[in-house]
Amino acid sequence: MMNKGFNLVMGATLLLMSMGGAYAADKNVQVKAKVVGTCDFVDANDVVIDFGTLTPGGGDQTKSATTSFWCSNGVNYTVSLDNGLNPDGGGKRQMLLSGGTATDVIGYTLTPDKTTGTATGQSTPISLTLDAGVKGTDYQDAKIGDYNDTVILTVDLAP
Amino acid sequence: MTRIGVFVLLLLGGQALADTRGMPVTASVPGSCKFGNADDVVLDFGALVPGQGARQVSQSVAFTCSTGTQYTVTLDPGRYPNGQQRRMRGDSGSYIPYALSAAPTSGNGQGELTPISLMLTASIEATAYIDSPVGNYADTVVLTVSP
Repeated sequence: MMNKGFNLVMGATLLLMSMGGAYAADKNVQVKAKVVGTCDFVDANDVVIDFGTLTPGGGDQTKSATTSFWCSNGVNYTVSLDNGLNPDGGGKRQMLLSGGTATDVIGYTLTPDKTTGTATGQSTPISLTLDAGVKGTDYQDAKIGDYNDTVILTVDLAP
Repeated sequence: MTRIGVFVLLLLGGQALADTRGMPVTASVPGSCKFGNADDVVLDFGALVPGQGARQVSQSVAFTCSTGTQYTVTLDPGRYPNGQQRRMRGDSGSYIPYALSAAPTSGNGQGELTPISLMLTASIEATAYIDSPVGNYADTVVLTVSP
């Protein structure tokens, strides 16, 4: 009996001695990140809408152009257009005659095909079409020459 | 260490009660390693803006090992691995894969007065989060320093 008890103690001791792992040290490592919402255009090029040659008496004209943007997955976005460089007192956009005075303008409309939505990330760009229109009455008395305007298109996270 | 001492005393006691024999008693004390503090190591990527490329963060932590003890450093796969790939889990239930490494991964301890600085580096590929839903992501990995 005495020998058996001794052997048990001996065995337990040797087992403990062989367990080097019992003296290892552990520590938690926390890895964290916060994905934030963003929106961006797929390319940095300007969007160009060219009415081409307008012949007075030619009636209403429309042109459109398309661009693409993306936003973080799950966020809501808004699309907005400013009034351009030459708006009239009511905010109506106008193209200005190159080399002309402030009254040498042709009014036009510009409308995006979407103004809000929910995005699903950079892998799925969202196509945006801008429709521009000129009324025949807006250029029937226009001086000949080149007219242009620049409008800023903004895609942002919905508030 | 204290428990070892107790067992050795028991051994000697047991031997005294048993018949006298030529029985050698040997003991080897395994080396031990410990961290300089009990705080978690935090590797925070901060704000990830999809589309802004790969990111990397580093954080150091100090430990000591008994003089002459050869140590190894290991990192478990974390809480949400996909095979060998570590991942952080987001509020929305989606995952961002990342890599985590330690340097050095082995060496020799020089005692409690000579801390060893361990650098942990976590990195994320640019493509890992371009479509990730906004929100907070986290993982917890267990770092072990073994003699």
